Amino acid sequence: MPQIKLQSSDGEVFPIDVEIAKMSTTLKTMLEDLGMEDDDDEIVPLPNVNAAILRKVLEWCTAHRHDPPIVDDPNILDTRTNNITCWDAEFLKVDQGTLFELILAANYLDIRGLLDVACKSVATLISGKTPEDIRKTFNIKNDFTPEEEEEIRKENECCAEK
Amino acid sequence: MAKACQPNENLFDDICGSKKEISKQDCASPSPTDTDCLIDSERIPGPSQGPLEAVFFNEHEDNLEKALFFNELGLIEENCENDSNNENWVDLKVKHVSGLPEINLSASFCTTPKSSLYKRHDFSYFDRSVKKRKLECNNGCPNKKSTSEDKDSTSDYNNTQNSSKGIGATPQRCWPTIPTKDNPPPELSNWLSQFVRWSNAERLMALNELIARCEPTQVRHMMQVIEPQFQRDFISLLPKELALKVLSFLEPRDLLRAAQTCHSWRILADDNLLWKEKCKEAGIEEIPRRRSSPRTMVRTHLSPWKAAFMRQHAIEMNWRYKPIRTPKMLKGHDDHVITCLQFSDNKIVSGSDDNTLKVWSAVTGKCLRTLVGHTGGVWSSQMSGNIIISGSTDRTLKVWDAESGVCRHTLFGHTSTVRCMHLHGMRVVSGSRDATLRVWNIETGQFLHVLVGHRAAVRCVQYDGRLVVSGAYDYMVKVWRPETEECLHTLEGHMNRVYSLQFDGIHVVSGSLDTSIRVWEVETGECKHTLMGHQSLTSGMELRNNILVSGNADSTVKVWDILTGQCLQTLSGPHKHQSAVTCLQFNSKFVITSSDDGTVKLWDLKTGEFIRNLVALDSGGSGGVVWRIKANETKLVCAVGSRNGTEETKLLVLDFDMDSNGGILITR
Repeated sequence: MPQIKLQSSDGEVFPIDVEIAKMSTTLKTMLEDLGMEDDDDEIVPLPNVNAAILRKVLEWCTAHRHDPPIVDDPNILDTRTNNITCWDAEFLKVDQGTLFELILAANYLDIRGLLDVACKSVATLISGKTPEDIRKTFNIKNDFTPEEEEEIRKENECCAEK
Repeated sequence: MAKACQPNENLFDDICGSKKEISKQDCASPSPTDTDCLIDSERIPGPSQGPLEAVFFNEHEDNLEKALFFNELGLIEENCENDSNNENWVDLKVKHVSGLPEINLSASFCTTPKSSLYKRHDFSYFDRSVKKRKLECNNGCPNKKSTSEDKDSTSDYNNTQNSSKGIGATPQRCWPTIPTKDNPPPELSNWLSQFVRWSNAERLMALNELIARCEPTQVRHMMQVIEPQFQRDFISLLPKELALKVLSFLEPRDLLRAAQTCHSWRILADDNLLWKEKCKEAGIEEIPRRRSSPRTMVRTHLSPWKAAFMRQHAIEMNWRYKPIRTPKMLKGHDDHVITCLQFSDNKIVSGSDDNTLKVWSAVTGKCLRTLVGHTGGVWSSQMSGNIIISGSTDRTLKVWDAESGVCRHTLFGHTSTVRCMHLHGMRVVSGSRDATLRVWNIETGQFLHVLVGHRAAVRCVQYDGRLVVSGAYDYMVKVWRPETEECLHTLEGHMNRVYSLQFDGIHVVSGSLDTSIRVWEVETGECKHTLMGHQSLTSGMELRNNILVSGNADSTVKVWDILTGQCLQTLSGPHKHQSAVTCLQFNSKFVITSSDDGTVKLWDLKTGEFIRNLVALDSGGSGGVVWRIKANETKLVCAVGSRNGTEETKLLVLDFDMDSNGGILITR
């Protein structure tokens, strides 16, 4: 199986199967455009991804290499957060810093499946929480004045269930 | 000697990289002020150094470094003084050296030897609390002036030192002062600078050792301090499109809470396109027109889509939970029966067996017109825009102008009561007791077609502009092509009169007195399903998106999937109607049903749960009846009365819109 080498921002080189690399639309486009597929010695530098995150990303790609491609259908909006697989849930049990970096890396490398599931994972951290709990969860400073806070509370309170 | 020159112990530690012990004698005998002692080439505390210690705070590391740097260069002047609080002040000031630009950096800190007991060579027996420390760059910050008290204090200090000697053999521990930022433990700086000098591996080892020595409460404290370091404010820190992607996975309720977190979250959580998607999911396809009333235009800064969503939600909550406002009462038709009801664009039309129809404003509750002309009871009607069509026992149909109340056309042809009709565009199809159906042009009043074939009264009709479907007392359902006046299919199967029909262009659904409901394919005439479960006559049905809701004289309502033929819900239970269901209507969330028992009930379409009574006549059970209901998004119109005079005939109009203050109703 043909391989390519990816180099993280901190210099570590990861030899991986081209098949796995192509799960990244960014890499796929680049490999195809440059016709690098047969060139095993080429090192692709990824200046935006450090070794720790790249390792995580490749771990995800390896586990998901047989996934069917995601088809965008504007009529089927996938806005559910309850469809994260056990494997992904386990995989995403990381600190917020790592999750943050993963989202940026998945976006940079254009790995749709990973980006979706990582964003969903953040959404699950938000859902069901009060504003104060959200602040605690993400270490956010409440920068509203008491008057603003009251006004915004009123503005958003109609959805309070019975 | 006015000032004791007591350079800071830790400064020297930092510079020299090793702790130098200072003899008690050194401490006890302050040397005369001599700034030169600081530029002592070896930076080792000389005899002039007192037992002073300055502790520098982490956050001022830069300033400390600067001070140390200048100290190393020998550019620091130091003055010690003792103020009225018996505190020793040490002022550091950068000396001006000719040939170099003038640097204004001064530092002052204060130390106070509090303990009277100390052990020789061991500073830990000194409780020296550093009260104040300043490192500032300013223009000509003056050194503290010496005062006469300084002298006294200094001598006090010396006395203290001396007297301690006497009982030094039995050292007592002093109570440690509680460390604060302004009052850190004396050796902290030492300890930290040591840590800073270590390599990564050394630091990791030190941390491991440190943690191993910590109490659980201290480890917990550590976690509390460390945890925020691993938190990320995703929404504020991610690029906007990614933050919005995260938010797109949230439920509306969570978005509303997210908007209350902080300013940057609020901006994103109120994003208009985000709410457009949420509206789409909630079935809101367009932003409602701006209403003319200024009262409803509060919160104009809201995203229009969010506003639309909030409005719909508020209205849903009003239907579900909010105390029901007193309905408008529209009295008319005396003690006659209201046989048919139309409601659109805030215009209500009631038809009665008193031979008239009345046009009402749903907003004011006023009767706008009474349509007089029929010579028999009105039993069927249709409305489209400003046009009203009525069918009567007088065998005619009449076309009315709702605005003026003028009868535009009277349509003659039927030989018996016009019992049902269905309007599509400019054509109306009427069904009569004479067993025929007739097609008319309502604009010209022209008779177009007659559909002959039923052998008994036609009771119900549907017309989609292409095909006519009719149900009759001959137990048959027929499908017609009006243009050719031919009957395409006769749908046989019912074993009793057919009373109700629904037609969506593909499926025909017929309700009969034989208790069954049948689902037919209009193209083939094939019976796809026979929906069994009701006990009696299915009088009213509504079909939308393959969901059928049927109301039955057995007092229950059922929700069906007509594709599978499955009964999804039966609206019954302890709160069920007490007698025949007279009318029903449903939308994506609710089913509204009315009954002979004098109530109108609200049900949850998805769960089949009873929500509440929207109307419950006092006369319910003793003759009070709700004959007909019609609802739109915010209003419910009910035609009520009785057969025995216990309830006056009238219309009730219930309003579930956002309240008149323009605010969103707060739900309990």
